[in-house]
Amino acid sequence: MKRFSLLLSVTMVAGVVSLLALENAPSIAFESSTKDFGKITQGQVLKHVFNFTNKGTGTLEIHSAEGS
Amino acid sequence: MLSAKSIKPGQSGQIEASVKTEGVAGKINKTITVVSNDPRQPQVQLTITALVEQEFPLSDQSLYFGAVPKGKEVVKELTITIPPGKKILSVESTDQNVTVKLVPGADGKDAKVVAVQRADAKEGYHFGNLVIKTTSASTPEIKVQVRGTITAAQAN
Repeated sequence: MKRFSLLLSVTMVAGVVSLLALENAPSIAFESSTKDFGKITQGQVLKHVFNFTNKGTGTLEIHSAEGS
Repeated sequence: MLSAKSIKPGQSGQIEASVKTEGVAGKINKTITVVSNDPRQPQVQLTITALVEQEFPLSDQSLYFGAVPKGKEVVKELTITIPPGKKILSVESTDQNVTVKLVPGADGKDAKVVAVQRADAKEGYHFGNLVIKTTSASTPEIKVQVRGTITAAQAN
């Protein structure tokens, strides 16, 4: 029984920690996540800028942005 | 390309994407995966789509000579469609193992691009481009990739 309650309290601590993390969490929000150029002529280089805002309360860290 | 790696709350950032369409025809669909510390969406997919049209449609977008033994000549050809009022000025190969010539069609509406992998090509993998120059201002140059592998000569 003692062991069980200890396990329970560990789970609760973990739960509180993750709640705190979400409270201070960043939130990435893109204006638009798709861009359709329609018909284009071969040879053109298509350039587009995706804008995003951090709508959360924590600092947003971008780890990587890689194309397929 | 990314504007900044750390974005404070309320601030904005940019991801610049560029897609080359040389040697590509038809629908293209490119995906960019953005990985961040956002706990709700650690990965975001961005997509770029386009329909790539050719002013001078080609029957093939690239030519592959295959893997052939040294000493054997290989001929590959493709057809290029010429829009009204336009002409092809020249065809050159940047691959020294490949020679190329243009055979105009009878009515000027198309032409054959005949590429020859030379019999004296050196052993190994080779690649380059056929560079087709045209009178069109919007498509002054068309590149067609050529590649092939020359293997050791077959013993008789």
